[in-house]
Formats: sequence, structure tokens, C-alpha cells
Amino acid sequence: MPMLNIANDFSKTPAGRSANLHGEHSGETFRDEKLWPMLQQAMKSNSKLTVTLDGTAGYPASFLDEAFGGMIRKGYCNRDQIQEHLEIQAVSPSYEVYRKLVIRYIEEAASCQ
Amino acid sequence: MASGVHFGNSFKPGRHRSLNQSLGLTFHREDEHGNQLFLLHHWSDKIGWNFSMRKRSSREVRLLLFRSRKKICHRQRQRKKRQANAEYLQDQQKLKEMQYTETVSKWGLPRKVTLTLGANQIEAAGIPLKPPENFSLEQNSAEVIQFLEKFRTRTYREQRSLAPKSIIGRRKWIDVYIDFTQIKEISTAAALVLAAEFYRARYASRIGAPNSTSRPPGLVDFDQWQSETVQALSQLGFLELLDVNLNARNMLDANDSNRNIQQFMTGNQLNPKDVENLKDGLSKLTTGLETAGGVKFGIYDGLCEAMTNTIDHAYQFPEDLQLPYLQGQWWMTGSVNANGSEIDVVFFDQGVSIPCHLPKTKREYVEKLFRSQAANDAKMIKAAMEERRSSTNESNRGRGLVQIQNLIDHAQAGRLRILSRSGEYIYQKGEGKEGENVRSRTLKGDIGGTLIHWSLNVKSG
Repeated sequence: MPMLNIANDFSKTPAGRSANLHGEHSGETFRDEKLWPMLQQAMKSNSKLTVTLDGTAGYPASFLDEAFGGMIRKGYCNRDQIQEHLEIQAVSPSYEVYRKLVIRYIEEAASCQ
Repeated sequence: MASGVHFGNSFKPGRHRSLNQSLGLTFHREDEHGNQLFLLHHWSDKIGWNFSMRKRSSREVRLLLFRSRKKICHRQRQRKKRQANAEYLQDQQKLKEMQYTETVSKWGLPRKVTLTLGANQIEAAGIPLKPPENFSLEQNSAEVIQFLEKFRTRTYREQRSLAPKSIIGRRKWIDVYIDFTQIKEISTAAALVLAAEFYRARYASRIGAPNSTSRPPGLVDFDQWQSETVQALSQLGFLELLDVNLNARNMLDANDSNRNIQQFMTGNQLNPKDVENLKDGLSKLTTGLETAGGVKFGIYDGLCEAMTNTIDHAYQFPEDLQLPYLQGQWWMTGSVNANGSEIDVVFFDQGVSIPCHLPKTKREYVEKLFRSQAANDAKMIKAAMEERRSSTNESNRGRGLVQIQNLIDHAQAGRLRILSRSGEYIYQKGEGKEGENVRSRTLKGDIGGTLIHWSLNVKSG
């Protein structure tokens, strides 16, 4: 089962929305360089990608929205595909609030489609 | 000897204005050749009263008359000239007095001061700008904001330089300096806003602002500053903006202070590493951040969102920024009180402000026409916080301000205060029964950007 740990595989300080404006730690960079390629692989192999939120300094809302909600808004995939092939994991209770936010942003993006 | 009109001792030139009388000229008789003879009395200035009585020919008399008239005209001209000169000098004196009175009433009286530049202390003179004694945006916001407005007016609109100028043959001159000796108390937020103003004044030359200078302003009468002011500003890193050698004054031990302020950070890009550094700095001063885990994450999220908003929106409409600005620039700092139970985190930008960049509804446009800008500002900030409204008009935007507010919910108790242009928004969470409290109000001035201030109460172990 493919795993993606944001703190280890991307950045311990994720922040910002747009790659142009907000730099290499942004949600857009994470989505296009890490999340979407791995999710594509998981969809091809019909497996489930587990994204672990633990270990970072936090998650600004704009990062989470762009990274996860942005996949639906950009037309990369739909809500059903995400539900089928993506699992958001928060081991520590401190990150549980971010897991709920990710789910909420995916739902909001899907409802706007 | 021909007899003629007798002039007695009573005759004085000043009393007899008539030409004939003043010349002592009277027609007398004709001689054997038919020439008219005149009796002429005249006097000499050098000798005094001196009556010369002899007959003169009409030609001689005409010549004398001509010379006398010429002399009189010359004297009259001289007298008028002297009067005009005296009037001119009086007017000039009055003008100078008026200008002086106007200058003093406008700028204040110049003062002799001691200027600290680097490690050197030199004599200088300058015009002080007096800040309020209680330089706190929490306790004395009206006076502090008015002072900041005055400072910006002096520096940019009236183009008074903070940096000392060299005047040949005289002591150094400073157009305007802040009289820090007046300040008895200074809050973290007010100190950060002041530091941002000095930062802009110092680095405005980079963006070609008029009258800007890359020279440091220097410290004025540093020896007379209150110890609390020195501690707060040196901890904040304010003195480094002025190129001051801290050894210039025997620094007091920072541990004596009733709070510890982190050195301010600034930048024009989203830099989450800076936020981490600030958070780590605060963690070293209190265990409260570790015990309230949500606060630690909340500070990171809130500050990153504030930075993102600054970069995306704050300097979006340069036409609304009437003063020189550093594109995307933000400043932030934090402080912890002595027992580690109170944390202040402050973020500031000099952008167009939330009320300016937030899109208005039709109703708000109409209200703007009938209400003052200031009254509208408070309402607009509240709308931005409550309705998740964004200048992009995209449904997924506007989450940042909500997350900025969420930080307070992670703390035991706390207060979020946003000052933007002339509006103030407060979100307060008390302990126990007090519950949440949201209010907004209009300020008596413009803060000059957007200030976000989180005051958090945490349990320190």
C-alpha cells in the first residue's frame, strides 16, 4: 500500500497556496509534485494511498484546500475516486483537526463542481 | 544797503515750508538798468543761522531757485526712500516673526540633543516629535495611532528626514526625531508598528521614495531613555535598525524585564521557517506552548495565513497606497510575560488594509456613500471575519481569517485584535462563563496597514 508522509516526503513546514506566489512549500507544489502523481499510481494499481499528516509544524487552511480540494477543482479526479483511493491519516490526536479539515475541503470542492 | 524783509531769530527752516519763505526771497525793486533786484536770505547748514543780505540778479535767483528745488526734491526723495526702507524692514521683521511662529507651532521648538550614531556620540540639534507616555496600542490606542499618523505625515508628506544632516560650520541637524525619553511604557504591538515605520523610512530609498535616505536615523538622547523602553526596543531589534552599538549605554539585564520580546522578523515572501523560529523562541520562554498543543499549531497556521494574505492581497492595489511601500513586506514578533502565562503574537503589514481590498456588496457600496470611511472600516473587517469573504471572489478562498481566529479557541483564554485602517475587530474568549465575545469599533485614526494581535493565556508548568 503506497504511503505519503508529508513531513518526511515533502516539508515539515507546509504553507501557502500557489507555487508562484508562495514558494516550494505550497499546496500547489505538494499536489502537483507529490500527491497527484502518487494518487495516479494508486488509481492505476487499484490500491489506496495513505497520506500521513503527522510531523509537521501545522497546516494552514490555504495549503490543505489547494492540495486536496484543488485536485477536484482542477479536474484531476472526482470525489468518488478520492474516497476510493485516498486515505488521510492522523496518528497523533493533535493532527485530527487537520484530517477533518481535509475531508471538509474535499467535500466543499466536490459540491461546487 | 538795501532794506528788505527782516527775518528774526524766530525763523526756523522746519517751521517755514513755503519755498519763498524758506529761501528768504522777496521781490524788492528794479535798478537803473531795469533789472529786478531781490533780497535773498539764505542760511548754511554748516554755520547755522547765517543771514546773507545782498542783492542778486534774476538769473542768479533762478539758478538758486533751481538748485534749491533740486535739493528739496532730492531731500524729499531721500526721506521717502528712508521711510520705504523702514517700512520694508518692519514688514520683513513681521514676516520673519510670523514664519517663526508658524514654524514653531507646526514643527515645535528645535532642541539641542546628543546623537548616538554607531559607537559615536555627537552634539546635534533637531525638532522633536513627542510620543505619548503610555505607548501602548491596547491601553492608549487613540493617542498612539494619532502619533503614528503624525509621524507618517512628517516623514512622507512634509518630507522631514529622520537621518541627521551635516551642515557646514554648524552642529548636525535632524528634521524630525522621536523623543523616546517621553515613553514610560511600551507594548509589544506598538513597538512592532514603530519598528516597521522606521524600517520603511530606512529602506524606502530602495524603492526610490522621495527624500528617502539609506543613512541610519541614529538615537537621540539615548542616555535619558526609560530603562523599560530600552529593554523592549533592544529585545525587539529596533536599535539595530538605527545601527546602534548597544555598548553605547550600559545595557540592563534583559532578565530583569517583566516580559521577554522576541526579535522582530520581516520579509516579503511566505517564509514558514521564520514562523517556526519565532515559535521555537517563544517555546523556550514558556512551557505553556507545549502543554496547550493546539496553540503551538495555531500560531503556525495563523501566522502563515497572515503572511499568505499579505502577499496575496495587502499590496494588491498600489494606487490606494498613498505612502511609499515595500512590496509584500510584513513584520512579526512575539513576547511572553515573566511567569510564562501570557503570550503575545503580533503580525503587521503596511498594505491597503482589509476594508480596502475586500469586495463590497451592493448594500455596502451604498452605505459607503452615506457613512464615513472609518465607520465602514470596522464593519468591513467584521464582514471579512464572519462571512469568509475574499477579494478573489472564489468560493474556496477566505479561509485564512477564520484560521487566524481559531488560534484563540486553542488557548485557555485569549483575545484576537485586528486593527486595519480605521477599523478594529476583537474576538475574545474568556475562561468559564464569560464565553465568546465579538465586537468591532471605529478608531480615531489610521493604523497604516493591518495589525493582527493574538493575546493568549496558557497554563505554564
